[in-house]
Amino acid sequence: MKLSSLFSCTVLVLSLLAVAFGASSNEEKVTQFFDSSETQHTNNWAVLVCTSRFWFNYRHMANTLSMYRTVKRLGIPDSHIILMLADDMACNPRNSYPAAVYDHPRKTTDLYGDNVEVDYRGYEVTVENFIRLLTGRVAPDTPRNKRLLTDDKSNVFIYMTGHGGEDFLKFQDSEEINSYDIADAFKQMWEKQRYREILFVIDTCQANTMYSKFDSPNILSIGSSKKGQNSLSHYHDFDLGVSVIDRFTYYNLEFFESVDLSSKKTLADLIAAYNRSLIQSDPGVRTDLFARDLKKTYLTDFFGAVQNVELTAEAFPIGGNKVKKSSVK
Amino acid sequence: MALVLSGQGEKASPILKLGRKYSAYLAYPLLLASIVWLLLLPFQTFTRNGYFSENAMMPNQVYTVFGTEEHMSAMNHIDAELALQSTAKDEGERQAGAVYRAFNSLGLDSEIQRFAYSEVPGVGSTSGINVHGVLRAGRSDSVEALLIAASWTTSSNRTNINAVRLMAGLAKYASEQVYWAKDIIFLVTDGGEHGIETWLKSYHGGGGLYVRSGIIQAAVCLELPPAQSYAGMGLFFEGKSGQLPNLDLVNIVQYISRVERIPAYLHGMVDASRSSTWLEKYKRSAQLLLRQVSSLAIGKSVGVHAPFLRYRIDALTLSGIVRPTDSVSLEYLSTGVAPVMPAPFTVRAIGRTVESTLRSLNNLLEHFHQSFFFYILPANERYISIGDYIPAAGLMVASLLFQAMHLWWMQGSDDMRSDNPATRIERINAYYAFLRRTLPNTIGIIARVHLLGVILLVTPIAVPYAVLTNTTSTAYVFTMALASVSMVLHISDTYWIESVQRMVDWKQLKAVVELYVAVVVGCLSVMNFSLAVVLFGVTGLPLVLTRVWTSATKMRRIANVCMLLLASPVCTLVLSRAALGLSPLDFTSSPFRMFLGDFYHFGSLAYPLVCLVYWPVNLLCMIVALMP
Repeated sequence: MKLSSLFSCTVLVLSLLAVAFGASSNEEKVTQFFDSSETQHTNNWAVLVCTSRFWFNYRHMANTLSMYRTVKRLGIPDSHIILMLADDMACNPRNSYPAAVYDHPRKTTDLYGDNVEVDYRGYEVTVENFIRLLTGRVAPDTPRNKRLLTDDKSNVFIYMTGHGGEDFLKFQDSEEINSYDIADAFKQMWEKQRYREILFVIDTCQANTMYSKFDSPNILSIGSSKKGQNSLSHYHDFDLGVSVIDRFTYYNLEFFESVDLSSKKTLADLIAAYNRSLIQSDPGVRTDLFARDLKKTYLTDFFGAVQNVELTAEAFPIGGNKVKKSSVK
Repeated sequence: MALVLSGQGEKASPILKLGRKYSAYLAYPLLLASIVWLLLLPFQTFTRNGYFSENAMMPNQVYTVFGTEEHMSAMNHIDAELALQSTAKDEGERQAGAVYRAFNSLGLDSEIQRFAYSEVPGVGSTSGINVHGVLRAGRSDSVEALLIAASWTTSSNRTNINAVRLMAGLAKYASEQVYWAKDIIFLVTDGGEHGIETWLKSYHGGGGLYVRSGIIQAAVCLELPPAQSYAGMGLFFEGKSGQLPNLDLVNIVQYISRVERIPAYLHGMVDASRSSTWLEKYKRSAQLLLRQVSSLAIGKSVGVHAPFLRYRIDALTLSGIVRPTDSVSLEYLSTGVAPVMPAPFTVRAIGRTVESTLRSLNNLLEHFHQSFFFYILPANERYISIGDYIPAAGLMVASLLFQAMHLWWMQGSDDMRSDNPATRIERINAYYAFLRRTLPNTIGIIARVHLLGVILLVTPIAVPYAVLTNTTSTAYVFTMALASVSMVLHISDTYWIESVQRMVDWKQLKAVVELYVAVVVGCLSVMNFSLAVVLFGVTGLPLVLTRVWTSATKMRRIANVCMLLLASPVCTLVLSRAALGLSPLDFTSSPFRMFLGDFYHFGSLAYPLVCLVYWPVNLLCMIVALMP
């Protein structure tokens, strides 16, 4: 797994270099590329959280799994995706398509088919675990797949969905996280240099209130509906007897269908694509904490694993390790 | 105590003074207000639209599939099995055997339960047979179940074979599906409510049942009398002692059946059309409300759902409405031959209604808890919540309390009530002397009358069973009535003797009885509003209106006693017999016996209330009217 991801990274970098050289073979561009590397990210992470439980909240799991499929398609490997799901849909006895989850009545894609790696499952999806995950305050014996191993060069995409209200989001109908909790977790992350930039997307009722308390730099937030507004579901499946996806997530995903690894689409394009009459709520965007111009911020900066290489002038002190090793001995 | 002492010249608070000043008149406006409140309830403006509280249920959000060739042939299979079982020793065994074999062939875990019951304690013994089959939810853990039930005979005493056939079809449908989170139990009984009660008792630990499942979350009972097609379905939901299923269940069934185009009307009553006048709408609502009140007060409803409610299982009955001109129905009535199934579209509509209801109930995550448990329903898909109707009971109780307060203040001689501070000590002494003299007698009268009530209550339970037949129970009631009248005459006569006249005061007696009735009606109103209203109507209302004059003439007393006789238990029992559709002279089924049976089997409150409250209070009212 590790080897293969390393390999894919190398291929990516090489292909990028090829593009950079081949397109204009302009030295200026090359220097620009390497100069800017200090201000650019070197790795991508995604945290996808479905905070709902129970059969009638099927759509929230479908939202999250659809988002998971998209970020995976755009190149973020499972090792860099933290997927939190109540995960009680696929094997729910009420599911007339056992072991499958769909986000569309056409049922063309089984979201729960191959290769779904759920990191926090069932009752592990708690407010405490979520905050510990973000801030890195996990117990020493926490397995690697349950840790957010980001650094100051990480771009983190955080997606949350569930039932919420003004300044809160319910976790599995038993507890709540509020906007101050998340703002505080992000602040700790910034202090600990656990991210470079965060894209926070939330699909819930009154979602825009959830990012209102953020006060850490480099966070771009998108919510599905303003204060006092519901976030509505989209398709209803009469075989399953449940709604299968929410409107805001659905139209985001529809936009992402036109995005691939080489896409130059920007966040501004995404936001411009939001259509109030289709989403039936007012999506909100908070840009004041975000330093870059949205028109120049590629979607792949968050959703894909298009990575940059950071060159160091001096040799990396591998010897130090040796000394350490011998001292351990 | 403050109330009493201040009456004797202590410094009274302004509120007490005001209360004392107006309490004489307050009882009547309050009484009037409570009646007006009740009369306002049927108005559309005072009712609310029904809605679903429980998000998880998601009614009508599935495609329904019931009605395929296989389902129809499973229904016909019942008839084939019945034909095969023709050698069985009696009809019950034949039917049970057929259903058992049909359920088994559909893959249900089935069991036959034989039982015996007596309708009224010990009167004869009727045997019955229950058959049930459990469809296991393969992907779940059998901790919860849904139930579909039918009795072999409908409430109108026709064969209910259509419902049994439909159950076989539904069992076939259900066994084809993978999405059940709860087991589904199909229960067929030939003992009506008693059969269901016996089965439930065994299921909940009474022993004798081996094929079991988990906690039953909801039950739907079916009654489909022979007919070509139905004009709709009647929805019946009243249980014993005012028990009701959660309003969510009633609402989803109404909503689903409307979408499946075989609407379930409350008590089978179609609403007045939109274009009709307000008076027609009002009359329609009032009629529906009255039916509920009588069902809830008496504890008699159509269908076999009532026993489920006692076990905290939300249940209702769907009953096919037969048109009077229906050819199949008429043929059945004249020949008595069990006819064919109704037309396929009717079967399919009812089947799909049950299917969709089952799927909605299947989505339940916990026991019904969201919506109302106390309500009355003025029209289809509308409701009146407890908050909107309980004030009427409050006003009734208040009316009694204010009159009691006034009478208590007015008891004894007038000089106990003067405002002169100089005679205060004397007045207090006189007051206590008066109480010491009269209170034991008042309590004594009440106790003696209640003793009669206790005898009335206990005798039918204690006598040898064989003695208590329909005729004797009626004779018993009339004997007790005679005994009561002589007791009333004796007690009131005793105190006409000059020397003991000072030993009692009718005002005190009436005040104490009013307090007693106020407590009973008040407590009952939160449990069973309908019964409380009826009880107030027959006890509280005559009580407030008893001896309202200032000076008692012979004519007034006679008029008063006549009114009380009209409101007497014997009179209302005869009237209610007529209301139940029986001839007043037909002694084969008496309401008294029915109350007794319900008390014995279902712990229903009507019987003890008649014996211990209604009967004695009516007699006490007469005593008040006839006392000096």
